[in-house]
Amino acid sequence: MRALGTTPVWTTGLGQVRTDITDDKDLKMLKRRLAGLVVAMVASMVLVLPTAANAATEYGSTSKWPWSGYWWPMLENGYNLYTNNGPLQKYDQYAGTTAQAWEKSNHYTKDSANSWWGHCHAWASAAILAPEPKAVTKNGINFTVNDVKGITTALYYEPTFTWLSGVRVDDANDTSSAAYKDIAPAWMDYLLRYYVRYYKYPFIMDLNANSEVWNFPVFAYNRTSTTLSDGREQVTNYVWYASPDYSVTGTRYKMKTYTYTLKAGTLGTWTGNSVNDHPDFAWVPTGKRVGSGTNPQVTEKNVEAITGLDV
Amino acid sequence: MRTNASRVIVGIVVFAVALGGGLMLLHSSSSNSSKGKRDDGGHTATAPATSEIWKVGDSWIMKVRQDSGAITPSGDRSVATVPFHFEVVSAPSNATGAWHVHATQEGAEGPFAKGWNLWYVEKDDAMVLKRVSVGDEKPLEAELAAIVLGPQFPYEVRYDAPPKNGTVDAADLLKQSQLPPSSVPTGTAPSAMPPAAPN
Repeated sequence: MRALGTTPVWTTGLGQVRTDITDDKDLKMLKRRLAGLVVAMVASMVLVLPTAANAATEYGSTSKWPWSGYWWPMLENGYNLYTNNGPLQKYDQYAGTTAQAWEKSNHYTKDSANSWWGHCHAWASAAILAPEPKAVTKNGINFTVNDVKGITTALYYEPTFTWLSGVRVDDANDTSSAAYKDIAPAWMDYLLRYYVRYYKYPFIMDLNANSEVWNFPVFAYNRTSTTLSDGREQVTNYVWYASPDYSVTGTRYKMKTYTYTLKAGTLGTWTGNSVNDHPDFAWVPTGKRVGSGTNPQVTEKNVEAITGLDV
Repeated sequence: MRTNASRVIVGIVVFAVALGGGLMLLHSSSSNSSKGKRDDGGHTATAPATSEIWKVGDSWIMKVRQDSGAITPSGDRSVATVPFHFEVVSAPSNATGAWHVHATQEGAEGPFAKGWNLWYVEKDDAMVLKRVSVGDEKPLEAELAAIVLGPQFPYEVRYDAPPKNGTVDAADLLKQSQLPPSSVPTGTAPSAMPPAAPN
C-alpha cells in the first residue's frame, strides 16, 4: 500500500482519484470509478433533460412604446397640474382660460391618505393614443416637456375604454376576496400574449393588487414556462411598463416579475410574491370624451394648437 | 308437387321483385325530395342573400354606458353614453355567406379610429357574429375577438341580432368569470424583443 501523501489528486463525487497510476490494480480501480462517473453523469442528464425539454420561452413587444410622462398627483407636492408656473397656468396664459383654477377646485386633495390620487390613468391613455409632445414655445410662452405632456394628459382624464379583465378592489383591508385575487393569472397571461405579442398594441394595468390604483401602460413581456409532471404550467413572466417620470422624453420603463401556475380550464394561481403583488385590473383606452370629471377649460383644439400634434 | 313448388318459387320471386321495386321507388322519391331542397339552396346560391332582419344600407346607433370611476384613482363616478354607429355594408352572395357590418365609436382614436368590421351569418332566423377585425387588421373569430375587443362585441355574440338604437351598460356586458380562450392567435410577423431588463 502506498500512502497518498502529497500525491496530486483531483476530486469527483465518487471520491479521490489518484494520478500516479502504476499497477493493474490501480488501473482497474480507476476504470471502475470512471465507469461510475459516466453512469452518474448519464443518470443526471436523464433526470434533468425532461424538465429542460419542456421549458419554453416567449417574448413580445408592441410596435410602438408608450411615452413616459408624469402622473400629476392631486395632493400638492409642487408638481401638480395646478402648480403655479406649471402646465395649466401656462395653458391659461396662452388660451385666456381658467383651467388652473378649475383643476385646483376639482382635482385637489388635502388628505394625505389619498396621496396616490392623480392622473396615472390619463397619462397612460395619452401615452398610448396620442403622439409624444415635445417642448415648444408658443406666443412667447415656453412650454417644457412636462407642460405639454401635462396639458395632453389633462385631455384624457376620462378616456373611453374597453374593460378587459379584473374587478377593482375598493376596500383597503381586503386581502382575501375574489376581487383581490384577480386579475386572474390566466387572463393577464392571455392579454399579454394577445395584445402585446399578436396585436403588438399596449394595454393598461393597475399594477396594485390592493385598493390603490396605479395604472401603467404595459408594452413588453418575456415569459418562461415549464410543464410540471401533473400537467400544470409554471410560468415566470417579466412584464415591462412605461414609468411615470418627470422631465423625460421617450420611454423610460420598469419591469415587474410575476410567477403563477396555469392549468387548462382554470383561471390559474399566483405563486410566490405574486400572491400579494399582482395587477388588479386591465383595460385599453379607445378614445377620449369630456365628462363631468374632465377639465372643461382644456380643449383638444387648444392643445393641438400648442403642441402642433393631432391629439 | 313440382307444380306447386314452382308456383311458390315464382310467387317469392315476384314478391321480391315487387318489394325491391317499391323500395327503389321510395328511395328515388326521397332522393328527389332531397334534391329539391338542395336545388332550392343551390338556386339561392347564385343570388345575393336577403334577410328579414336587415338589408344593405341599414344603420343604427347603440349606446354603451361607461363610468370613468372604474379606472380613475379617485373613483369619482362620471357616466357617459358612448355611441357606436353600425351600418350593414354588404350582403353575402349566398345564404351561408357572411354579412359585413361596419361599426365606429364616436371619439375613437389610434387603431380604433377606423372602427370595427363585423361579419354575421344568418342562422335560425337570427344574425350570429362570426368574425371581427379592428380597422384593417386580420379578422379574428368572434368568440376570441369578443373578449378582447370591447364590451359591445360580447353583446353582439350573446344576442343573436344587435338591437337597433338601444342603450346598454358596459358593466353588464362583462363576463368576469369567463375563462380566456385556450389558444392564443399567432402573429404573421415576429414580435420585437422586449427591452433590456432595467437596473
